[in-house]
Amino acid sequence: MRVATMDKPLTGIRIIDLTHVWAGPLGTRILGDLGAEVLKIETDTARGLRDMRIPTPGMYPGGDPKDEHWNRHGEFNKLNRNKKGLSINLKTDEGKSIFLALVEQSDVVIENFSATAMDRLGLGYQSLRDANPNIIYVAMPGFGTAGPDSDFVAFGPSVEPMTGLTAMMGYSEEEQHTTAMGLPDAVAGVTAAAAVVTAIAQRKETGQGQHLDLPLHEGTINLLGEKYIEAQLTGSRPAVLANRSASFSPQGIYPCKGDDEWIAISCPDDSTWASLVSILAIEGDQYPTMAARQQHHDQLDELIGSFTRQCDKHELMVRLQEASVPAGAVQKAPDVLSDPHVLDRDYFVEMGGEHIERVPYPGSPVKFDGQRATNWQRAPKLGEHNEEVLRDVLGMTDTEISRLRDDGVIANLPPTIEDSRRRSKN
Amino acid sequence: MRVLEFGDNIAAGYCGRLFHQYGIEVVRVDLSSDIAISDIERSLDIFLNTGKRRVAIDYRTEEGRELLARLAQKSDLVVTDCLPALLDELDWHHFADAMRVSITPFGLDGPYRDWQGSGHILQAMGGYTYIIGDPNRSPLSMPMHYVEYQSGQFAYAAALASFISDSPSSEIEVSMLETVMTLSQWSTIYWTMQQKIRKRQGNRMGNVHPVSLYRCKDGFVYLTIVPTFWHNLVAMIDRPELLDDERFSSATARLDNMDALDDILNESFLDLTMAECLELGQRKYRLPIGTAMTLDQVLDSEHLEARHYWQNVTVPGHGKIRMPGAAFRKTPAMAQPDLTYARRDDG
Repeated sequence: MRVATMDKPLTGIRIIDLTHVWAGPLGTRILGDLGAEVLKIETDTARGLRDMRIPTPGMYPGGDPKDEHWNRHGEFNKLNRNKKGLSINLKTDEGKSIFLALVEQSDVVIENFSATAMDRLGLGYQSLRDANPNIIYVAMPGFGTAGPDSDFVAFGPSVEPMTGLTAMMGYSEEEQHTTAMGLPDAVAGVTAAAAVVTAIAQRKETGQGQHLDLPLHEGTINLLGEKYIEAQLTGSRPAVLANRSASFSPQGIYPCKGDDEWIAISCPDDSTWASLVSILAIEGDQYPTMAARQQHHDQLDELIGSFTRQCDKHELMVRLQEASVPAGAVQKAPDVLSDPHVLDRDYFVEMGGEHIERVPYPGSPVKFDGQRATNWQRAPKLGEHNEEVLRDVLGMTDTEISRLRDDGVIANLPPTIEDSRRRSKN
Repeated sequence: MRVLEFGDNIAAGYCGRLFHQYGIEVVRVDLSSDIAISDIERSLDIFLNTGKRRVAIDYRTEEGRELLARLAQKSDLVVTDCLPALLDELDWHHFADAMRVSITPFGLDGPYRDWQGSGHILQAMGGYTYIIGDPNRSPLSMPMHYVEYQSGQFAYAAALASFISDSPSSEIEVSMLETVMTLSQWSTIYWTMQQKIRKRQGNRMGNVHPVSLYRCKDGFVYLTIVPTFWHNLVAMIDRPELLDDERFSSATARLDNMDALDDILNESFLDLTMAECLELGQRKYRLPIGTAMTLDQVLDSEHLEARHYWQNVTVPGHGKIRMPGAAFRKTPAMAQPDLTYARRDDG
């Protein structure tokens, strides 16, 4: 029996992870970081980031996919650390049986397929519950498991405008803008971790599992909560403010010295404004109040910009922060990776293996009793832990496991072209 | 279980909101000066604090600190988003026997420990801002409290996990800057894999196309057309000749000819309303498309109504309004309990 340690509070919790792409794997990565044993189950062709069919241009160390591109995908490796990799064909009867046997030995099942996919596989909640009455089942479809739009095809980037975010974001009212990164995935990933921990806590009290519905759509609407309330209190929707703030002034993103270099500055009160004025050596007396600064924001932006464009973004950031003015360099990736504060706190974690070079990956924002989590494992190769899990969790023999491999129920390589042709004929 | 929450940087408020939402008593300590005056401030106060028990204590005074410490001793978990300097004054590491959870802009140590950091600043430093917006224009910040709320969610999950574990921590720390970096999908990994800096690409995702925002008759529609959906998109816009057009004959070709393809798509969607785009795109051709809904349209969504998503809140002087309910719920979805908003306790 493994015992939870301070930095791994979810030790002893076993999670079956059927998720793919970003939202779901992010959620289970957080849970794995917290110590849960995450069994990542994929098909041998996988889906999403390590799709076996074609290498994603450039997304490999050194831009080189090499022979096993599916095991070298950067985003996949970033999102799937601290997990065990199984490749089981859930479309076969035997694959389903193995899956349900694992459910019996697990605490949580989580997936981010479409709303009806698990039922179509014959692995809906009732089947899972029959295998394990206390199972916690978290479904993460784009628009939920029920409701008139629940069958909408949903990817994070196209869900985002449906949440209201796009209508309030952009350079102006006429130039609406998306984040162009599929923000609902990042929101739903953290929400999924919160959901699983909540259900585990509730099961500890009640002894009962539950079926949770966690739509990408609603998670992001939730993050706009106060905007929805404001719209009802005022009768009008929040204005598109670009980089300005309805509460602070001035606030913006200002140009700095160099190509495409910028700094974010925000003045939440009069004293910050006074500090900013003294550093920028501009005449600020005529804008003593927040209202006056809001009214003359265009002029202030010009004044500030004419100063900042002569400055190095990092030097200016330090200078402003030392005067208690909220300011941050708009950092590009290499800036982030070499940021002295981030390095000092040992935030990034280097991981790699024989098949993939060691590189730094984002860590966790959580410290327990001042300590970073320890003993993290790189993301698994396809089916890397098939044998270990089937033997240790289900008590299978080497002979049984070998037969499953021969029958194509489990795999650790994607199918050959001949395999694919044979399958499509069948 | 009782959670005590105090601070003024929004993240603790969101963390406390989650504890309250899932049935745990939350006591919110406001500063005496925390009076929500504008509609914007009041909206945030309603969203974060409705349903919590509230007391007003000026914990910047000695007497206030004593009161706060006494409340902390009666709690199981204390969550704050005060800056480290104030936490030092409170002797945070020995503040209470309860589990202590801090959510700070830069963490409790490191060179930037005492710097000022709002969401606007932290998005920029964490790598988000640089990649949002149009090329050759300034980057864009996101307009909501993304950093604060996501940090609050991290704090909630970590604290609850620790609280129910066999070896709970005394103190949990969440860095808001690190939260942004933890949730970056598109910046640092591009650099570490291929030494390339991901740049702003407008509304395009850049590695597959057409994935972008297009103008339609009454607003905007977003397409996420990964290769699987190309044929159905062509059918939807009734342009079968595109299937034989060399410029769009493969995923790579469509990437190479993005501008030409966008010209065609912009023209095609101008005749369709957002509602027609969804009806045709989602229901008939099964395409991953979305429309840029206004807040009113989202509030009036039949789908969300059917799912009992909104939670009614009675706001004195205003009447009943709807606020987003829980982001995850048991199935089948049930109506969530009505709440009444109460401002901070003046006592």
